[in-house]
Amino acid sequence: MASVTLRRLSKVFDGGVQALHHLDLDVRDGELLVLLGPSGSGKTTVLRCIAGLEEPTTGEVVIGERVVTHDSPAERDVAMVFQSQALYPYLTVRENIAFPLEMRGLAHAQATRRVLETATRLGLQSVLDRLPSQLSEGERQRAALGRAIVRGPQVFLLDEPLARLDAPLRIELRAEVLALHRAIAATMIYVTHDQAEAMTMGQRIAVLHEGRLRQVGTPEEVYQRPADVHVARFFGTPGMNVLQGRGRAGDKGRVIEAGSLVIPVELSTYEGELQLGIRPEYVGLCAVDQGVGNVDVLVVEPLGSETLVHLNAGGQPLVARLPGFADVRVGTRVGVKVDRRRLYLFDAAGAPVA
Amino acid sequence: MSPRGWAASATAAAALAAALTLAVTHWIERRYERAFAFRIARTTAAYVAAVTPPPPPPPPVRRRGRIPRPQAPITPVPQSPASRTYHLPSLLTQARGLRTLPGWTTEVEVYYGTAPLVDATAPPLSPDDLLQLDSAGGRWREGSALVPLKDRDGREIVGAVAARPLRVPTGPLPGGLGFAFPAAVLAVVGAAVIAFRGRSLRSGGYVGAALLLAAASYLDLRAVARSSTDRWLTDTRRLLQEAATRLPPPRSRVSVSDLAALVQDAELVAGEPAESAPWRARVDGAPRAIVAVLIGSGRWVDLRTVPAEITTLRWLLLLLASALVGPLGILLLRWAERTPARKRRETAIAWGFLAPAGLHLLVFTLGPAALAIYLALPLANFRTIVHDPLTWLSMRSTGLYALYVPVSVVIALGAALLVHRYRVGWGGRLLRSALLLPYVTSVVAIALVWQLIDQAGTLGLGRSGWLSSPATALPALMLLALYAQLGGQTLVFLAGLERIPRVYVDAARVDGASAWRRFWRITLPLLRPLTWFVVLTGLLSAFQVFTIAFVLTQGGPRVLVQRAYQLAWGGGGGSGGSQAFGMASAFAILLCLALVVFSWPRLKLLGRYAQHA
Amino acid sequence: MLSTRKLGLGLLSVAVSAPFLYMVSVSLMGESELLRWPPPLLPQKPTFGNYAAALAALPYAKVFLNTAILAGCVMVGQVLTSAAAGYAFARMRFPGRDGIFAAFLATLMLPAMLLVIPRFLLVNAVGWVDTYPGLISTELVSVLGIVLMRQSFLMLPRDVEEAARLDGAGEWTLFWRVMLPLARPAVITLALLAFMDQWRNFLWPLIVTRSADMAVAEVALAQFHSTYSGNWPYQMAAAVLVTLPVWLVCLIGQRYLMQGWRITGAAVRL
Repeated sequence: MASVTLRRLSKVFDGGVQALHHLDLDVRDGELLVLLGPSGSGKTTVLRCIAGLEEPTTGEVVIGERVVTHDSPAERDVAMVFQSQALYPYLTVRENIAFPLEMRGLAHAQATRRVLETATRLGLQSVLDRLPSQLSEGERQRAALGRAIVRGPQVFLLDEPLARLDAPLRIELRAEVLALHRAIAATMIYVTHDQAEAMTMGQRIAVLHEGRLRQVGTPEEVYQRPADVHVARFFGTPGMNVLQGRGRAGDKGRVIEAGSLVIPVELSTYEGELQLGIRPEYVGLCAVDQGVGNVDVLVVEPLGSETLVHLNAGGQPLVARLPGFADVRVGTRVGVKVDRRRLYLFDAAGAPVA
Repeated sequence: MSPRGWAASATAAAALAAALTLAVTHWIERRYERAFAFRIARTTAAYVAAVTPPPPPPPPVRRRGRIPRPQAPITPVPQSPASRTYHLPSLLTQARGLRTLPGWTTEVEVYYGTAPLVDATAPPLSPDDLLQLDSAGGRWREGSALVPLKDRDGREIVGAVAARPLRVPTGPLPGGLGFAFPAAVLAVVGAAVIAFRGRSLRSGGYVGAALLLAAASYLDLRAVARSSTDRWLTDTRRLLQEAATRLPPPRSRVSVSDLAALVQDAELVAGEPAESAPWRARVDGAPRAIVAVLIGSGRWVDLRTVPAEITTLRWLLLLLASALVGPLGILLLRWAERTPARKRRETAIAWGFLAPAGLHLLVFTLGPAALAIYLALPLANFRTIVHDPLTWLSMRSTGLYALYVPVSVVIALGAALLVHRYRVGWGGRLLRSALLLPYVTSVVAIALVWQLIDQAGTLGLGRSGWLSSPATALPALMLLALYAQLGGQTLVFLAGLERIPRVYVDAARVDGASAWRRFWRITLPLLRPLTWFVVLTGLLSAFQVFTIAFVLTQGGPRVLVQRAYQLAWGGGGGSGGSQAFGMASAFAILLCLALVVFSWPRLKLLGRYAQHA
Repeated sequence: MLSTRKLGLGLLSVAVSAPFLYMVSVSLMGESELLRWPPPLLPQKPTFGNYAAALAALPYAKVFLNTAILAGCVMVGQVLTSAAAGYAFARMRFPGRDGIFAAFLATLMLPAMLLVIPRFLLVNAVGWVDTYPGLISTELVSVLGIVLMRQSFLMLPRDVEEAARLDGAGEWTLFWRVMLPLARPAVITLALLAFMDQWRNFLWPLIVTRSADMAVAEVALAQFHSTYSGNWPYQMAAAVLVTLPVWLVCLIGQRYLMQGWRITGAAVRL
């Protein structure tokens, strides 16, 4: 096993699109790091640079102690699981799993033993002689995992391996991947665009946005202390409300005006444009003129355990998450309460304000 | 790579190209010199044969024993009867006289049997040399051209004439390559200067140096070719003047036709007095090298021949190619230097994968195409072809024949629409198989069936012999072609129809469009590129039709390819000579040009079609 | 409406296959049957005598062997060269790729007749006239085959290729063990097309072979035609014999042939 270090990694594609901007990232030995970001954020490019499928324009990739920036994929001793599984369709599961061993010239008897071990670990013994097209979706994904772990590489790269599965299977396999990680204590880099998956799986989460690394931290850190407005928006279901506003001195001290809301804030150093973040669970409703401002109810989504209420706060959208079934009518006007200790303030560029 | 190492490699590449170009120039010049040597040797042989009298009648004591031969062993003994061979002493005089001719530029040797006559101490020929001459007609031996000396009737070989060309210096420097060598030095030094001066390279400089080198080499080459013609004219002029005085009596005035027999690949016509030096002029539009010869008091003739330098242009391409090896090499070096190792590796691997197909295309397609152009030269071939009524006749019948294509495309489209509705079920599958039949069946077999139907009168039209009557053969051929192509074209359209997403048709249906409108507004526009593709490929193959016409219409309408085949291999199967191949190649090049002009969009279409498929 | 269409379908089927049925029918007739008027469509007493006679007159085993050697070698050659070149064009990046591909396509414009003479001279110069190498060598690369293979390689997903790279496959292994099996349908299509094209090759064998020992199917059939020009049942029997292998191949590989049309278009050789 080995650590993975990216130093000032940049990638500019042939068309001139810059996919990565000076990325620095340390993945510790034996860690499961989740690389999270919306589609197009460059997370797959990071993975492909580590695998050697793309050559970075500038910067270095280090695996263990070795600089591998310009090595071929085969020389790096990394394994990758693809979203599409990428099994060889004309080979049986057994042959698929054996292929990397064969490529590395492992003796036949030894290879057979390792294939069998891997298949047993993943519960694939009964389908070893089937072709990929004869397997269920879950079995296919297990076979793809098997092909990755069978040769015991230094680093595992998983590129949204569960994105194509339906929900129950995804949850089942998520647990299996975690168990696998504990069992073989491997360094894993897991790419996903699903923040819930990231929260449940990662020891640490690295958040990418538009080719830049925004934050690296434990799930709690990235949720509670988002490094910028993008990270803040990305976590939670639904994500954080972000209102455009400005700070000014009001009648009773300093306030922030955002849409139809006027929220008193202890803010000594900053005046002008800023962004106000409130998680939906800290937004409450009350009678008109009783809160920090009045809003119109646009849509009500009762989900059973909770109710999402979409509001219009003076032209800016705001979502409130209320427990149980809330008695709110569409088209009415209501007041809004906010938990002032749970406010996040970002400047116009998205960086947090003290 | 360090800048110095890089510059050194660039210089080495330039030097290599220069050396290559010099070698190529030298090789081509030697070719011209050899050609000259063979020519003057032949002319000399003809001269010697013409001016040497037969041996005097043998003495009556002949039966008692043989007269000892004047020379040491001569093998093989000339077999000719006495009247056909030569009087040896006068042969000896004639041969030795050649060297003393004023202005004579070539070293010649005359062998009687295997024995040298001019320089008696020179080594004799081996019997094998003479035997090989017999079959080859002339060969290169030890730096000189050796041609047979026939007996007076021109039947048997009694000896040989050898000619060794002397190198003629060209350009400002002595010793040959007078232009090319300084240019090569200049090119290499120039490349070195550009390379060592710095890395902000101007490829233009290298290319300029290479072009200079090629041009200088060409000048050299042309000078050598020109001088080879001049020397032949000068030497032959001397021979003709000698011959005019020596041709055996009884005639008092030598006739021009007698002299013309000595110079078979040149013209000899009455002319005006002129200087002794050869000159160039156009005769009836064709370039000629001419020298004036005085063959009697006040009688002048012009000796005219095709100047060798007009054939040099075809070598310019080779010279350019070899001179450009340098800039290309430097370009490659620059590319390698600028490209990361990984990309270099990928490029090398890609070329490895391309190599088999690429080399094959080079050897069996591009090479032959270039050879075809070479064969087709000189341009006179094209002129002949253009003026040949058979060309236009075959063009006309092929053009008419090709008219079946639009018809078959329309029918094929209709058939495809019909079949498309029966995608599933055994009926559709059976029809598809039936459509495949004419596509996969041997073309000769289809042609035979049609001939059978035609001759046996199966269709009830009587035993018409449509295919053999000139008036109806072409329509009959078109009908057959339509039949043979229909299946394939239908299947292409079918494949196209299957690729049209159903949603388009469904949406139109929901909108209430009739089947007719759906075809015109949706199906046909979507199929348009494919239709053009089918029409163009159909026309292209129609213009190249050969097999069915060849099998069915012996003597009927000649189509283009048939005419080319006829030009090359005659009507039957006999092998043609280089003249025939030249004509046929010229014909094929004209056909090719016509095809390219007429179907240039096809490539684009094919490309676009392949992108979408 | 439906019935007219069905009628059209039926007519088309009959029209297309009639000459072939007639070919088989005549091949079973006695020699004099065709001389009657009107000429019969079906044999009175079917006989296989013509086949026996044609087999004896046409050196069928030799002709079959020659054609099979030609078609087989060319099939293997075209598949290998086209697959390799198509792979490079489709899956690799190198300078000049598109230009070279365009140059390859441009050679399609050269009419066969232009190449036949210099090719003949070339083959003659190496002394290959009337030999298998002479017959086969010029046909080993097909630009249309390269287009077909390039197209099918373009359509393959990148993932499997990359998975194989990570698994440690080298360039050759990648091509031979991964990409080529993935492109198997196109390979089979190309093989079938090459085989059938060569089985029906006429112009080149006509020019490059001389002796009866080297005759291939089409040339032999044309010669048979000029030898027995009056006797149609004979000729039809020979035609059926010569065509039979292609029909069988076509029957087996129909699915793949239909696929080949998607790219190669109508390349019927006439």
